[in-house]
Amino acid sequence: MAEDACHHKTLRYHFPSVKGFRNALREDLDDAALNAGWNKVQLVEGGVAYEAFRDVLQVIRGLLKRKGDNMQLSSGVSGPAPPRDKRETPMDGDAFKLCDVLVMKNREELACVLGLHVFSDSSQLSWSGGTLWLFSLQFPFVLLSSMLRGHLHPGHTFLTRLLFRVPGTLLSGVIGCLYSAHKLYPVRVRLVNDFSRTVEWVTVAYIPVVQKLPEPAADERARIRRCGILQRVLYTAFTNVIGRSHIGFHVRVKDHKALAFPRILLYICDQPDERAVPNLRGGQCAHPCTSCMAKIDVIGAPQALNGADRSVINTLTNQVELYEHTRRQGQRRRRLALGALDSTSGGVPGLAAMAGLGTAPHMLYNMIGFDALHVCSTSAS
Amino acid sequence: MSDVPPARPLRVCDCEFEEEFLAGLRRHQYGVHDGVVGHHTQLPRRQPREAATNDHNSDGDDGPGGGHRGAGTAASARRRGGSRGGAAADGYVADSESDSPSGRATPPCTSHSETTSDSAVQSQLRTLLELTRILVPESDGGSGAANAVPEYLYSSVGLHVRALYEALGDAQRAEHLVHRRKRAKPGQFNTVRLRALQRVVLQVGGAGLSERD
Repeated sequence: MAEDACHHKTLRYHFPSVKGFRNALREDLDDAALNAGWNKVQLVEGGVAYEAFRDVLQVIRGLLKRKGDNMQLSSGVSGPAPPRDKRETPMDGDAFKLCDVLVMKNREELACVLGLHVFSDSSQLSWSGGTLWLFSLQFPFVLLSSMLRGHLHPGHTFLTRLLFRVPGTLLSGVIGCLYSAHKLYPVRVRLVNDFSRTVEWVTVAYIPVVQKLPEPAADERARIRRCGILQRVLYTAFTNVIGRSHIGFHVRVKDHKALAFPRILLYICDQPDERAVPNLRGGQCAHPCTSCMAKIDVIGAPQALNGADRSVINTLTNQVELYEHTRRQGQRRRRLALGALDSTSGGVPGLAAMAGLGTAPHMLYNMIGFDALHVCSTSAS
Repeated sequence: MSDVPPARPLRVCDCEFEEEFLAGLRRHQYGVHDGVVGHHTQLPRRQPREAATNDHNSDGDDGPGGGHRGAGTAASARRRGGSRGGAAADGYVADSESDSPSGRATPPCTSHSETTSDSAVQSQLRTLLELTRILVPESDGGSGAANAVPEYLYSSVGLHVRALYEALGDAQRAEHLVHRRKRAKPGQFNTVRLRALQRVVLQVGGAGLSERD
């Protein structure tokens, strides 16, 4: 460890009290959270949930400022590259080139696409504010003996008393378990125009895990709540990006000033989110494929290759109409018909408002990338 | 109850003026009625440039123009994060909440020019939203309790999605994750050993130690 002038000073010298140490830690954490632009909002979707997010547009601007020298504005040298089989970077993909062509077409000033990859994995839980509880395999016996000896007093501190008065308890297979106050999973974003050696994923939001409640049809209601929270979190974090995706914003990269249009090219997620992000019905339904309309009867058969692609405009229009009827609690038969038509659930995908997904080249249902490595590792373990 | 979608409403003004194209209807409404009229469609006027400047500089002072007092007050209230009250007061829920920049909690590192440009963009989008939507008459849209929520037709489905989520007002209700303490002095872990200790405390076990630990 490197040594500085205060290397041999004690902790007591820097922080005279425990409270001072705690406060210093808290102030550093607060400062970091504020500087990173973290916000929170209370969402009510059949229950109260808190969501933490930061503006993705600010994240993009921060990345552009820090890594401006390593940014590439277009897939080709001075414009969109021609289609080819080379796939060395995400900018070589068809999605980027399609957006590149559309953005640069008929525009007088230099325009570019800022491609975004989004990643969320509900199996990667983060937690905070938890309490460490310790359990012993001999807990019932020690509890009984402790009661007989009169060590146990009524109140909440009985476990603490038990653990400290009977130290042998700790030696017999203690199992630690962290009961957390908040369970969340992160949404991360990556800018694909970044050509530096390190691939940087930036966390932009934390989605709360919605638990089932003891109620009739708990599974279905929890799924609807989960979808609703997910969509609102995504829309809140991407609000400004959605606005700028239509009209662009000016960036300066390598002494070039360009009008940049952010586009989501890929959304990497696990299987539940694969259906939840475009608000499609999960589990058993007539059209279980996210990107095409192949029926469940032919899924896995060669005929599935001939399935027509999902029409973004048609499906989205049906989803919006279904949502409007649900909001007004009317047209029940039509709601059922609309839901069955495209195997959609009752909500509207928030990311559909973004240019490139709800507008040309209509990549809303093609942007979902199934996280195959995650599935492999889960099944292997 | 039927399985057919509601028919497109006629482009008819409240004063029985009919127009084939939406642009003509809007021209009539802005020319004759001084703005878009109808249920939940009245937008607060934008402040004149000098009034906005005075309001900004004096932080709540409405400036010399008494005629702009209402707009200035509403705008400054929105700037302080009170957009919910203003939205509820004029009965305009969706679009006044989409006028977000003032109510939105901006990170401290945001530069003034970025905030201003963002607010201009959002104002522009809000105006676009207003000009391109048509109120569906109640007789066409549904009946009973359904009429409590006004229904609009939008020029594109993407705009409709945006309006639905803006109506929820999540981004406008957002606040900073934490509030800075009074007389806070961040950066007290300023030696190598202290920083190492801080790293251990914050990262041990993945989530770090709780305050009780």
